[in-house]
Amino acid sequence: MGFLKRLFNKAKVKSPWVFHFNSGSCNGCDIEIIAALMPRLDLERFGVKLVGSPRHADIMLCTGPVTEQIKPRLQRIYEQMAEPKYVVAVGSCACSGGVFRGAYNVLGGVDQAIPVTAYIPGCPPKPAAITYGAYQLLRVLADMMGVEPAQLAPEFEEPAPPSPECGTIETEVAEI
Amino acid sequence: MQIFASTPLDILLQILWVLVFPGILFITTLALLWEWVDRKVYARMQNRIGPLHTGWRGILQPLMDFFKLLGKEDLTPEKADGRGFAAVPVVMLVLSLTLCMFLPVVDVNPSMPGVQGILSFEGDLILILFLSTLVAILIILAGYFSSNPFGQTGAARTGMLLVSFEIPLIIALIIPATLAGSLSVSTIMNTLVRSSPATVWLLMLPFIIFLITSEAELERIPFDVSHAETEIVHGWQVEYSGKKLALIHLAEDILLVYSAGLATTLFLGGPYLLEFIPLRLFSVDFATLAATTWVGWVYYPLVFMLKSAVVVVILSNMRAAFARWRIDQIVRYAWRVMVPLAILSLFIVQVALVYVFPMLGVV
Repeated sequence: MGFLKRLFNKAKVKSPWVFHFNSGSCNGCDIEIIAALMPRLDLERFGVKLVGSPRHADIMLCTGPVTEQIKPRLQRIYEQMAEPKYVVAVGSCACSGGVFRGAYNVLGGVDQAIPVTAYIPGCPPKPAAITYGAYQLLRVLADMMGVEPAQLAPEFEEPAPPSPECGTIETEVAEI
Repeated sequence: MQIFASTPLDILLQILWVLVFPGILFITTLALLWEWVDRKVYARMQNRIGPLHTGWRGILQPLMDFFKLLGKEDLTPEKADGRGFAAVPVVMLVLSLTLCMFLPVVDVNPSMPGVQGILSFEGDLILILFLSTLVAILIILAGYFSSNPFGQTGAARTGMLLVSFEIPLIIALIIPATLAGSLSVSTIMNTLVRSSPATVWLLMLPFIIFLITSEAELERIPFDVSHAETEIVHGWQVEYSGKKLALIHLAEDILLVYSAGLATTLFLGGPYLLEFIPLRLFSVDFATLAATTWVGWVYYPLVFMLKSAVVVVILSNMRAAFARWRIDQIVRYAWRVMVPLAILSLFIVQVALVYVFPMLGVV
C-alpha cells in the first residue's frame, strides 16, 4: 500500500494541468502565460498541460484584480474544480490589486475571493518569472506530498530568482 | 482463440494471452507509450521539448497523468444522468480494448497459417466497423448525459463529423478485403503479405484515405471541432473529472493504438518485415524460424510496434502541421473529396482485379 500511495503522491506533483482564468486582467499577463508555455521556456517539461475545462485542471492561473462583476463567477469556477486544487495569482494585479488597488470596482487581489497558494508578482511577470513561480509551486507540492525535489527536475539545482535587470534574466534563460 | 480449451493449461494460457501479453496489459502499455511519442513529436514540431523530467525523457508522463487523474476527486454534475454518465467511460474503455484484440500481434494460434489475432474469425472486419461506430455513439451519449450545453454542442459536432467520415473509412477498409477475398483481419493480412507486389500500388490511395479518416475518427487537430478548447472548452468531455476522465483518456489512447495497428495490419503488412527481403535466408529460413519457435514472440511484436510507431508519427505530424478546420469546411471536404476519392479507389481496385491483373498475368 505504501508504494501505491507514494506513486499517487508523485503523480500529483508530476502532472499539474493548468487552467487559465482572466479575472479582469488587461491581457498582459495572459500573453506572458502563453509565452511561458511556448518554445523558449517550455513548461510542458514539468508535465504542465493547458486544459480548457476547470473540471480537468489541478491549478488555476488567475490574472487580474478581481472585479466585483467577476467575483461570483471566479468563486463558482473555483468550486467546480476537482480536489486537490491550487490557485496561482499571476501578476501584480492578481497578487494585490496593482494599479487598480483601492478602485471602487475591484477587490484587490485574488486572495480576497478564493484561497491562493502561490503569488507571481510583476506587471506583467516575465515568462521566466512564471516558470520560476511554477517551479516553486511544484517544490512546495513536492514537500507536501513527501516527494524529493530532486525528482522534479534532476538537472536543475536551485535556480536563482529572476532579478529585475533584463540582462541577467536573458543569460539565465539561455543557460536553461 | 479458435482452439477450444481442452485442458486447464490451455485455459490458463488463453487467460494469460487476453490479460497480459498480446492482450490488455500490452495494449495499455503501448497506448501510454504512443501518447508519449505523440506528445514528444508534437512538441518537437513546435520547437518545444515536451515532457522531460518524468522517467527517461518524460516517458512516464502519460502514466503519471493517468495516476493523477485516478487520485482526483470524482464529480458528477447535479443535472447529469448519473448512471449513464458513469457508464460511458467504462464502456468506452472496454470497447476500445475489444477492438485491439483483433489485431494480429503474435501468433496465438499455430494451427492456422500466419500470425493470428487473439480474436479472429471470418467476418470480424464487419464487427470491428460496428464497434468503432458504437464508440462514436458512446461519445454522443457522453455529451448528452453530461447535460452541459458545451457537452451537447460537442456531441452534436461529433455526430456530424463521424457521419461524414465513417463512409470513406469503411470503403478504405473494404479495399484490402476485396484484394484478399476475405473479411477476417488476420486472413486479409496474411493473404496480402503473400500476394504479388503489384497490390502495393492499389493499397496506396486507400492507405492515405485511412490515415486522414482515422485522424478524424480520433478527433485530432485538423478535425477537432468536437472538442475545440477555445470555443466549447472540451466538447463532450467537459464535465468529466477524476477517474472517469482517466478512463476516457486511456480509451482515447487505446483507440490510437487500434487505428495505428489497423493501418499496420491491413496496409503495411502487419508484423512481417524481414520476410519481404527476396533472399532465401530471410524469406524462407527466417520466416520458418519466426513462425515455429519463440523467436516469433519477440520479433513479431517488435516489428508491429515499429510499424505502428511510424503511423503514429505520421498522425502526430498531421496534428502539428494543420490548424483546426471550420465545421462547414470539414463537411464539404468529407463529402466532396474524401467520399468520391474512396469510391474512385474502390473502382480502380475492381477494374484492376477484373481486367488488368488477369491481362498482366498477376496472381
